Amino acid sequence: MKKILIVDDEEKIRKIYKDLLIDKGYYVIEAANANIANEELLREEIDLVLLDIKMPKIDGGVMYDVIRMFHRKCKVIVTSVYPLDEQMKIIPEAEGYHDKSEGTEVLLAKVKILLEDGAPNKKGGFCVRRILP
Amino acid sequence: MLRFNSVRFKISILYTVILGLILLIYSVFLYLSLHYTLYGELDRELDIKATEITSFISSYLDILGHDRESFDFAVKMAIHFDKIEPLEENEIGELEKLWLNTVDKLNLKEDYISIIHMATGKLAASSSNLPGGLVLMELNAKNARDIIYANVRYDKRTTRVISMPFSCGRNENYVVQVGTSLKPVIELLQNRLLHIVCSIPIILIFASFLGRLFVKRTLATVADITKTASKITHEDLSSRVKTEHVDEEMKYLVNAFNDMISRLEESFKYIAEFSSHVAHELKTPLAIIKGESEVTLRKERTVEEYKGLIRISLEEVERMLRTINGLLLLARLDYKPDALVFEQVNLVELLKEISEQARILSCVKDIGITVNFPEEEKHIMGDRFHLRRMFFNLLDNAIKFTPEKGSIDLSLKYADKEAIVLVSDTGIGIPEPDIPRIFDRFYRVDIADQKIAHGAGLGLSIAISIARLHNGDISAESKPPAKGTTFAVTLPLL
Repeated sequence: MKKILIVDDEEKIRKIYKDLLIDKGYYVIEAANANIANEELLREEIDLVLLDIKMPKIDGGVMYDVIRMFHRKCKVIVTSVYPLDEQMKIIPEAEGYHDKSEGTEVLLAKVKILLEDGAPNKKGGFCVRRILP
Repeated sequence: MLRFNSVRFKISILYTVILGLILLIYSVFLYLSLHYTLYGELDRELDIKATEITSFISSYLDILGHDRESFDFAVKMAIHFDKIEPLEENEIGELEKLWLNTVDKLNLKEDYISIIHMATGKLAASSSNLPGGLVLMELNAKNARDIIYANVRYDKRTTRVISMPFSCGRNENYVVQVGTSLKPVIELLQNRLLHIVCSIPIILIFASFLGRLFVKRTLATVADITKTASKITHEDLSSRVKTEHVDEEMKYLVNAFNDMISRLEESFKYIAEFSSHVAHELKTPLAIIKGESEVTLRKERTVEEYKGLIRISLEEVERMLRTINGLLLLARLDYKPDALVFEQVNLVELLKEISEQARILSCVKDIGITVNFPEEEKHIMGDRFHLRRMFFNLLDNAIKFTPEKGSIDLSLKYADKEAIVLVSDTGIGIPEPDIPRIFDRFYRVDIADQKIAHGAGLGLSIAISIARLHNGDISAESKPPAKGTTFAVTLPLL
């Protein structure tokens, strides 16, 4: 079972994504800030991180560098309410990008592609627009 | 290049006209002065000539005797000096030699001389260049008595004539008239006039070119400012006007201009950041509503679950409304400070009202609110509505971040010219590094305990804006964890 770590300061967002992904059979861990995320990353072998950019104190960009440096096998989908091109400017080399207002179906599709198909798709944000249930 | 309302044109014209007037007045003055001098000299010369003639005649008569014949002879000798041959070595000879010298010295050969008998008006003698009994100046009452100078036109030439009455012997009054050509004087004056008429325009043209050059140099700085101003767009606010080689007065303009651009740059940066924040703050609740709705709709849910979704959506909608209203208020406070209506406000009264309202909120969490107001009721100048809002925001914050069964204290004290209102709580406190930033817009302290409801992060921004519009301020002190926070609001007393 693939393990996903959700890093977001907004509790409601974490709840939505957690329910969504557990429903699809993934193992989901939550982290409200970068410190907790770090602890979780050290504790478990995480396959995918859903990383929010705008968090108080330590933001997503710094967290991303930490993930890249110490947890190379981990894939990252950057999630934010910033538009996609801005997300790519802030964190250039992630495996996927998600604009939260695009909705849950789109996110599910991106997660599926990254975790099941194997190959990292850097331009995932542009290719997957809408997948019908 | 030559535009009629350009500064350069106006200055050049003004300068040229003024210079022209000055030159004109000066030239006229010099011309008239020359005219006066030349005529003066000429008249003096004529005076000398007439006097010499009369004194020669007198001397002659002294030798020959004062009779009619001697007079006629003397007169003729005086005028027709080409007929003089001073042969004899006696007084007459000496006199004649002297006269011939004088004639040479005074250049009487070219002049017109007449001697007229006053009583009869008959010509006693006239020089050879005056044929046919011509008289230069007609006798009249005036020149019978006084020495008169006049311009007389003779033989197509203008002559200056002196008319001098003289008498020799008993009751014999005569008038001697000497005329000399005005040609040299007239030529000189005409020459001078020509010089003036030619040179003034040339000088003016030259001066106006120079003037335009100087103005151009001064305006070069203005041209620089214009060029830089055109380069500025909301995307590129980096250009500035250079201040080397700029005149003193222009330096003020240039510096003011550069400062203005810097302030604009700041403002634009602020606006860009602010817009970005706003978009973010509003999109998050929307993302939540969307996410929850999508998840809920994926399969059949219970009524409770549907109700839950609606509740969550409503919460997020409230959140967005609070954000938007907060932003609108902040915008109003920033840009239309006259939205505040100032009046005399009794601080104690106001704080009592607010503490009552706060108790209603705080009793849900069983938080006690204590008040501490002085006896004396002083006033401040303020907008009641906004002051209430400010204190309410501070109390609301206190209630939010204080755990159940905690307590909040609201106290007022006076210090010199200020009133200090303290809002203290026994809440979770604010970490040291966050304290300077808590008044920033959208700033929310990272709280691990998610049970604490988060606002939009605008409450304290609004509070401090209101305080500052009242010429006051707010500061915060905190002893985390869990030793509480105190906000101090200072407001100037009336």
